[in-house]
Amino acid sequence: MSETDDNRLVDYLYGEMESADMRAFEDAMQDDPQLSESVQGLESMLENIRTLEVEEAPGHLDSLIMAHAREQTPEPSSWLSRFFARPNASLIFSGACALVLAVVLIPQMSTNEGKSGLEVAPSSELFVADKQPVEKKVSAKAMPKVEEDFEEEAVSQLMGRLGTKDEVSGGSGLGTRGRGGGGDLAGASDEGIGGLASAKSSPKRQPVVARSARKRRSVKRQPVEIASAAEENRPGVFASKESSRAARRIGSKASPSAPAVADVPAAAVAPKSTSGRSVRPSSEAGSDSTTMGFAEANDTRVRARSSRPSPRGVESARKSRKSAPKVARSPAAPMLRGGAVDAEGPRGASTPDREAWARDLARTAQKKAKALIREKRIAEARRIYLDLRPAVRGTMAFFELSLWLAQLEYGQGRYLAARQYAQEASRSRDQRVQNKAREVVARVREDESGPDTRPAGTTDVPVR
Amino acid sequence: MVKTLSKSVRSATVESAASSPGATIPQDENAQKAARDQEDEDWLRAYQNGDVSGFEKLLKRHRSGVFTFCLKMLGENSAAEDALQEIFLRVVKAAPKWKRQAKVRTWIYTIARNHCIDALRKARHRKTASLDQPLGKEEADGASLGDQTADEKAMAPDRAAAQTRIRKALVSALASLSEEQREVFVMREYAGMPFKEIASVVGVSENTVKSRMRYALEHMRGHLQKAGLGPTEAKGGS
Repeated sequence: MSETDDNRLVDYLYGEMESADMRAFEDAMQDDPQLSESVQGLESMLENIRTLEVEEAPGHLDSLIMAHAREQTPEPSSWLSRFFARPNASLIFSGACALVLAVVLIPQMSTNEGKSGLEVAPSSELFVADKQPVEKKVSAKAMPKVEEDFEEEAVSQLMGRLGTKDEVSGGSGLGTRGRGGGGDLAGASDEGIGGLASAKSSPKRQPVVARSARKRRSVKRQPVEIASAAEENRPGVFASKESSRAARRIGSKASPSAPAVADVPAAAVAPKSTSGRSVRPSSEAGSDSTTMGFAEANDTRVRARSSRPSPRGVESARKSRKSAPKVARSPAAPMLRGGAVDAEGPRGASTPDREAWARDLARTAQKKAKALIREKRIAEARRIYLDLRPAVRGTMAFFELSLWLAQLEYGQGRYLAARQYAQEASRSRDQRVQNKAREVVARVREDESGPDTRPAGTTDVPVR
Repeated sequence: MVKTLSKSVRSATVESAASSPGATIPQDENAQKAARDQEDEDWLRAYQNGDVSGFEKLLKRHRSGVFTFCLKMLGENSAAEDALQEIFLRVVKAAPKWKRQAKVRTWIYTIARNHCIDALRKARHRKTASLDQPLGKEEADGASLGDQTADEKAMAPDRAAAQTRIRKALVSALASLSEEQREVFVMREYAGMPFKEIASVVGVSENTVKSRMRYALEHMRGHLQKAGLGPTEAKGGS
């Protein structure tokens, strides 16, 4: 009998079958006397077994256990920890906080429309920028701070030529609504910028064409520069060689516009590509110099690319935006702009986004590896898992990968590697993974030597 | 003293299977199971917050099933008692750290299973107790594991004899199963756990669990038939 037939038989015996399936199974029994006999025999046996009286647990043990339980009674936790221990309460609280933040922030952002002096925190600006391809014209209210930066640059240059900041600021007076407390040109405000505009051209308001062109340039440059500035202290943020290689091996499910670097599932990747060209990731040195060098290189490429916007790129970006699911990104997550895909996913220690991303990546890798294993291409399957491990380190998917590697190695008779991976996987918080890992360890031990030498008490479920 | 298993321990599907084999689990039974699972969780949380009565309720609900599981796995009454105590002491120790990653019952049975596996492996290197070996001082009359019977005063002699015979055969059949098959069979048959839950306890897929169950059932049927308990055997004298 096949495995499916086994399952059906057992489901039927224990009543875990849908009505339609049950009728189909009974019809099959009528057509197959052997099956019918088998089912009847098993049913009869179970009836016999169930007539037996089952032993009750001795009562004297309860008092011993309860005495111990009283001794070890945990201290009552505070109402706050109890509140947050409930999953629904935590969710509701998080939702309420998000709503409050949205209510507070959105009006602020909308009131600053057209004013470039808005003090928007870099991370939230970056977050907003994540959702829009670089080449898309972004409204000023989304990127006011950047405009201010460039204007400041232009102003400082102009100041050098003009010789005095008064001329620059004279038009409307330096406002105090600059960034971070700069009363002089360093904290040039929107008034200052307006002043610059007026200094540059006679009308009070800048010509629309010039300003829009400036905005476009500023928008295009901003993400990388902010990214590079933000990433100064975040080494290794860019996709490593290994993870990008892993992403390529896993296979691309992303939109056609997604670059080759991010051969990762669309679900795991935000639609960022513009012209479809990829940015080669740096090595995983994690050094500042490497990061900065890469940022500069990327910056150059982005500038070059952004200077000639490709209609196809815009179109493909729009398509990829439609096709890819909306992946919520943490404001602090550094993202490459200009077409590069964050093949490493959201940063941060095990955030839900990162977990979801890692899980999707791992599942895709598993599918691919299973297909390779079926074709007896074991080494390639192993390579897929190994390449993905650094990228998902710190997530639950990492332990799943360890488990799959352990199973793979066990199947190949490489017991030492199997045990090591299984022991690694047994540190997962997922009980299922733990159990499976322990099973692998047990089987390895059995195959290598008969007796189990584990000390007592080492098999408890490590409840974390 | 042997008592009839309460309904809370016996699987609801057992009764439904006896009355109408293959019937699907009604919605209200699913709701009852869900309610029981929620109660377990509430009691455990209460214990985590310092309420001992929560643990007491958990103990009362699960100790019979866990004891039966240990008894069937280990085959010895004394070993099962020790295991029961040890398992719930571990539950007490781990209770403060429990988080809602699995059902409480699944968690308890995972601890029970791990303990039984440990105990069985240690027992492999010791002389295995024979089924005919007296259980202890209190069984000085020579009652063996295979002879463990219901309260004979409450039964007609013929029924008691049939029960004894079936029990002996059952114990022998269970002992002949592999550990993997035995644990699946015991969890399904005596703890009433659905296959999906058993799969999470054991750490394999649901299909694997069902396959093991199928092999266990076939093996036991063959064993019982050899012991003279075929399909036409009277139902324990009832």
